[in-house]
Amino acid sequence: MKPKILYIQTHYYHGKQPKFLKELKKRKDIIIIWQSDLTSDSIKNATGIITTMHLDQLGMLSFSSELEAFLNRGGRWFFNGHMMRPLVFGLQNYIPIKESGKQGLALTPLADHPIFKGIDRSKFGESKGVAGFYGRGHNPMPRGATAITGIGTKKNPLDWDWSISNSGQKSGRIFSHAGNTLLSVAGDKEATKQLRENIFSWTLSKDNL
Amino acid sequence: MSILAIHPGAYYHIESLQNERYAHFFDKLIRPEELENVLLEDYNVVIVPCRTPANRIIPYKKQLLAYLEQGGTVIATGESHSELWLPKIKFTTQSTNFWWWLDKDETLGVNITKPEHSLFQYIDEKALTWHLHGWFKVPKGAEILAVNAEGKPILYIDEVTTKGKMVITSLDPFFHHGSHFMPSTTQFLDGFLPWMRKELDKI
Repeated sequence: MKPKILYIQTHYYHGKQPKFLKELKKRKDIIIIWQSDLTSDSIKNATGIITTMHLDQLGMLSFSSELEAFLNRGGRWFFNGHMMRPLVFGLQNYIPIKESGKQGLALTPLADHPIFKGIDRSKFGESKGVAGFYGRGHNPMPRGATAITGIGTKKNPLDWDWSISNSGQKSGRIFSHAGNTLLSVAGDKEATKQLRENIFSWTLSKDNL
Repeated sequence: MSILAIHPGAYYHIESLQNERYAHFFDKLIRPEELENVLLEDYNVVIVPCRTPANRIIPYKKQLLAYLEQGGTVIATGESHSELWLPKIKFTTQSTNFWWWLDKDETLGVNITKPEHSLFQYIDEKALTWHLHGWFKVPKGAEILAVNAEGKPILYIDEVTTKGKMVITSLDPFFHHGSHFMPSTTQFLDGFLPWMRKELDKI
């Protein structure tokens, strides 16, 4: 199957569309689909899925078995936002930070990852001296996942990558970012573009991991 | 008691509408697409929370209007483009200053224009102040409750356009409370929702 990302759109933009959405529309390897138009077949025909912080998680629950089948055949899912309904087996609900102050929001890179290739991750910690924009909690990590970015003094896994073992077959993967949609969060223009490209490449399985 | 809330299903809606803090304020939660199967007249209030995708509400525009004409109350909070599915709403976006509070001498400029209104027994100016997304041109005779720094309405009640009541704001408290971000938004809902129950949920 030719690699294709299904970008599931939920948010309604009236008038001006965000720049990243215009970029996405130009790409042949990304299919933008309204969540309301999602079908079992559209998931079956994708090799990668990107969902945003605005995902209708109640609606997505009805596609849990399709998502599990997608992961079992080696699909990659880039999940943004707070998990409030476990959409596939192994996921749990979001836990907001309990620590107050900047130390509770401090970010710690815990592992390298292709999505951060060429990105200065220290810039995610603060914007105009204010911490907390990158994330304010974590989606609990499934057993066997790798923590990529930690938050707070306990370094809870705000970002993680889960390779779902499947009896020797090609593993499906979930990258979970428990914050605002990471397609437009890197700060400066070039870094944001680079981060987006990295996310698309990872979701298309074009990496060396 | 009968308050119906539309539940579009994003994480911030789940947190705001279903978690313990506020769940008891909503007697019934329905998905936007279930609207056509619901008799709105059975409810005193229909609330459409922030960031409800407008394309999921627009198909039910006529039903909402009929409900308003029968005396119903609709509450619409920010970033849901209520101008696309409720009557006589004229909305203008404004650039959002997320950073005003970094300068201790700066204010966002939100002002309560009708302090005697019952809502302000429940919330104060601080609970209206986080950031702004836009303002409304309000129909003549509507009650303006709060304005931005330029004196433009950001929260008002319209009982002149229909036989019912529309409580309209450009503020987006459900989104930020549900994101565990911006404590003022929680203060807003801590006051606004009890006010809604006490003052709007009447037969």
